[in-house]
Amino acid sequence: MSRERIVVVNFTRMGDVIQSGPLLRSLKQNARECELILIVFSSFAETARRLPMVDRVVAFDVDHLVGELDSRRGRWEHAYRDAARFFQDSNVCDADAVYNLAHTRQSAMLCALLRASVTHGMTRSPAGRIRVHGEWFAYLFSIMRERSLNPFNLVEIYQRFGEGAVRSDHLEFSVTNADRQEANALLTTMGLSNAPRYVVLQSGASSPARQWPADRFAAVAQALSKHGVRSVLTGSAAEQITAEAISRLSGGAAISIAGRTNVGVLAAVLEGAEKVLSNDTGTIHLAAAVGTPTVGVFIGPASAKDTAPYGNGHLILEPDLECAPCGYHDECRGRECGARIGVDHVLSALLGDPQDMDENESLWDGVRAYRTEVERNGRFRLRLLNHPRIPSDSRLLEGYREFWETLFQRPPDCVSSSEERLPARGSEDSEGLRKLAGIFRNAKQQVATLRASLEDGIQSSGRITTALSNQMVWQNALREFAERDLRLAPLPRYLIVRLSTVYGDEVNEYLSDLESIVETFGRGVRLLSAQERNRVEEVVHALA
Amino acid sequence: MSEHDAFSPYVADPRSMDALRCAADMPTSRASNGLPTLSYSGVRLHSAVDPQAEAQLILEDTIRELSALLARSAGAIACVVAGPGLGYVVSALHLWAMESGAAPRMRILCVEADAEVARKALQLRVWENAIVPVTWFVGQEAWSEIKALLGNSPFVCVTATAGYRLRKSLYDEMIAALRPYPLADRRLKILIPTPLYGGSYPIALHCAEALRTLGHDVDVLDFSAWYSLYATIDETTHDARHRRTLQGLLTTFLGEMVAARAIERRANLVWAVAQSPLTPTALEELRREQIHSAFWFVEDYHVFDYWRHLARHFDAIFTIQRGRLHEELHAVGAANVAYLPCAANPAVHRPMELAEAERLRWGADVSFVGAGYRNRQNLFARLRLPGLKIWGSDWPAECAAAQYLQDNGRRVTADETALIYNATKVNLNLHSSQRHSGVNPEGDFVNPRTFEIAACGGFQVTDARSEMAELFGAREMALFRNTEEIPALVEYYLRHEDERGAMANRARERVLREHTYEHRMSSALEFLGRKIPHLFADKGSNYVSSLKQAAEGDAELEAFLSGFRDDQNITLDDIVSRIELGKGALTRAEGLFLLMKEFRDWGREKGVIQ
Repeated sequence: MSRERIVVVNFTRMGDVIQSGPLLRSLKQNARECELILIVFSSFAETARRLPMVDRVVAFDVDHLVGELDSRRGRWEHAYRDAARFFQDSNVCDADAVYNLAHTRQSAMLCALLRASVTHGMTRSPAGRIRVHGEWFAYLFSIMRERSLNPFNLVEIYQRFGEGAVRSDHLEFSVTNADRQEANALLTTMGLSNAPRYVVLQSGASSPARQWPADRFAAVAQALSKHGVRSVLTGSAAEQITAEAISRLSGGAAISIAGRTNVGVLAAVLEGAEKVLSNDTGTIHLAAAVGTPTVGVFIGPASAKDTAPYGNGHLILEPDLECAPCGYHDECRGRECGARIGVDHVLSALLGDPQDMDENESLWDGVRAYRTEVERNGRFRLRLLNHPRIPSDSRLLEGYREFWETLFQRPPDCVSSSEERLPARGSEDSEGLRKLAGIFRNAKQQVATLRASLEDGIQSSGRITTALSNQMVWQNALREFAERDLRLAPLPRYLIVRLSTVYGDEVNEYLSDLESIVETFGRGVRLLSAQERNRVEEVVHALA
Repeated sequence: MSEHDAFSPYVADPRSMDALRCAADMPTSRASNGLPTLSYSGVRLHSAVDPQAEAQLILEDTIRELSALLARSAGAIACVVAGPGLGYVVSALHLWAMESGAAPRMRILCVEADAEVARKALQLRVWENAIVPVTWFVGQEAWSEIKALLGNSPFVCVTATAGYRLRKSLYDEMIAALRPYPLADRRLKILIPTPLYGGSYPIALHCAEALRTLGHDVDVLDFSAWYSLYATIDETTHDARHRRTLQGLLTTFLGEMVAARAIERRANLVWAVAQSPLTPTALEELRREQIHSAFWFVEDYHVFDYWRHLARHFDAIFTIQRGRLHEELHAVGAANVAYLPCAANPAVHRPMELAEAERLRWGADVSFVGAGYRNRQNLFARLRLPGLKIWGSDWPAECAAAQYLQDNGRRVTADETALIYNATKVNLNLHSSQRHSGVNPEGDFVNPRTFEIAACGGFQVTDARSEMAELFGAREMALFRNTEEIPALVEYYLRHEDERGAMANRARERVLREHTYEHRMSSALEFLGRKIPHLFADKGSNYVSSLKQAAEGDAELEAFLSGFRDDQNITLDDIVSRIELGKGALTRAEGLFLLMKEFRDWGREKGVIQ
């Protein structure tokens, strides 16, 4: 019997590849004898090769393929040939399972061409339709645009992709002795041989909105040097100019090795550092993976709760602003984010006494300071070190954590399936819940009508047309609801993702998809309603 | 007998004859053997010792080629002499043809760019009394006439003369024009942006139809729906400055649409006609994207002058006028300019069997179709033709000609014009002019109506135009030079039905033979092929044939591509549009194409590719 093969497609960036480590570890532990294959873009193949649980890394040369598809100079018969060769030569097709961690149409098509026995995540059906298999995958896609009520760290969501898998509680990355020697040689060349204490500063980020100002990095380096700590600026070749500018600004207190490291050497440099100061980048996750404590400056759309490094003891600073973190598509006019986090905040995080950091709230005026914790069961927590002016609604987030965990359990064991538990007009439940329940009843009624007419043998094509148009009615109602009631929006958003991948090509499949969605809808509304009732009861109890 | 009567057996086309008329007389000198010889532009065109012996030497290679051609060809052959000077080579060729027995199958065509040289040659006629037909073409734009005379006959060129060396690049270009261009090797993707309205709008559609018939992939960007927006501008303001600004903005917007569409579809060529909304910016964008552009200016350059600021941004310009216009186009930086007269679409303008009711509705003894330009108002006011019907718009109610106006002066459709031309005994045609009170004595180009009436098999009496003789002859339509000639012509032809029927038939045959949009588009593409060789030569990657080649051994892909023609230029979008989602399992080939499209779109979205 041939060895089981599991293929994971991760067409994301370095940080996400590293953050997928716990999932990969779980998949590997679940099926120890399996061959675990990771397909990534060529640029991140070396990162993927350092994930110890991965048996084989397959690089997908996206730059070459896209270049061949350029209408001005491309030769798309070559693109066809190269794409066909990828599937022929890389021995990745017909696996037992495929996991697609990206939510892109290109990765979906690639997964469909892999023709695995089971595909988890976004793919295309044999007839070419986009499908999303797995509740947690649909959940991840549903929070892409609006994540304020997402209670999970990305690593936790990834972990939930592996259903029933044992959850790992740390990131991993292999650093070799050769990496360490090369890193030492590089740092020596840069004059760090006699100063073993150093902090790494990662000043770049994937978008300017996530970048803490360069002059502040320089000021941090200057201040650290007064404490006998040298600073090493890391970054990609594209970030070299900024890093060198910071080095100059710091008067030589920081040296730049940006653009001079491969991922192995970078990991070794991070491993040797006392701490790593970084924006929300791949480097911070790499540092966490090699066990170095980090200080994260999370500004713009960077959200500590979503992507803080997965591990214990990392300190994350967010501006204490109403708008923070902003959405990916928001355009910040004030640029207050970066200014709000001061050099002193960062120095306290880098040099301060841990106990003092936890107890002295005055250190964190104007920011939200968090320390990361990972429990043995893999649960990630952000412990707030101060009482910020604008606190996050942690109770609501906790509620949603419980909500999603329960909703995706089957069968639901803590929610009554009784129709009577649904919020009704005039009950004590919120107006929003009543509206959501109204949309549910309408959807349920329409799906039931379709089922009945099919069972009566009524000709199907006209029925599908009607059902599709009815579906649009309640889908639009959900969309409208999600825009108006932000507190209850996560469930409608999730349902919309599910609804966007049902098709009327075949009536039985269509109806079965709709029934599944409506069933989740009903359970979701009941669950929210139960949570609401508990909350009211708690309030009543407290008042009494 | 005048000098020109003596030339006429050797000069077939009127343009050459005109050039000869204008040419100065040149003095000759004598070679040592007493024969006349000539120098031009400081270059001696013939030997100063023995021009005949020199001609024999010049022909050595040519005679070998001619012999080979005669051996492999059963029909007529031709020899084209570039820069013949006084024609000693013609004489030597004739002698060889007589001796070799080639004479019955051979004709000689002389192409002389300099009219003074040609005039002297035709005065001396050193080949006089040759049995082999000898035809001279004079001037620098004769290639189309030569081509018409050559037809499909194989030919050999003589290029060893001093006259050829004097004007090498010009003759090379003319010779290249004579060679059949392998257009069929490449099917082009052509985008045609239509005007918003007006006379050139249907021309754009006719061009599209003709190009499709010629086998090209044509995408029509039909802007007629935008006319209502354009018209709103006039309703919005009477201020001319505001109107110009708004019209300019609309043109800029639509021009960008043309560029966007051409780039999106990866067109090889944008074929614009007069009033197609294009701007220098949009045209330069096309150029940057290596998409070629051509413009058929089917308007009177005296009336419109917007061509001036657009000309240099097109890769080629085709005009219905020449001479001075071409000089001006070159002066403003236009690189490739060619004459391309109007034409007819025989699918629209065709002979029809009319019912009696239709004949009553659309017919008349005399009809005129056209807008009420100043010269037409005056002419028809003075004519007082009984039974005249005038169709068309822009005829002021107060003008005397308005009494003949039909249907309250509404604009008639192309289909309706076909009915009118068919139902009318004598179709009057008068080219428009705002500067004249009747016939424009300097009128040059021939309007589309001339071709359309002819294509319908309609009989017409039309005003004389300088370009007319090349397009139609006196046996095909009746011409008038002034208003006074019209009544007699109309009266004569109304009385002679057979004669007008025979003329109309000949005119229609001429259109079908030479003046359809397919003829024009063929000529235009041929010109473009010569001027922009890579337009046709580049068999890039997007050809089904090259894809099939790359797919060798991939049966699934070959099967998928079998739905396309080998010579078809296709884009990835063309392929993906054939893939039906939700209708059965995709093949691997279909999946790969979808994958490519997803990554292509992703690359474009990120701005790393186009």
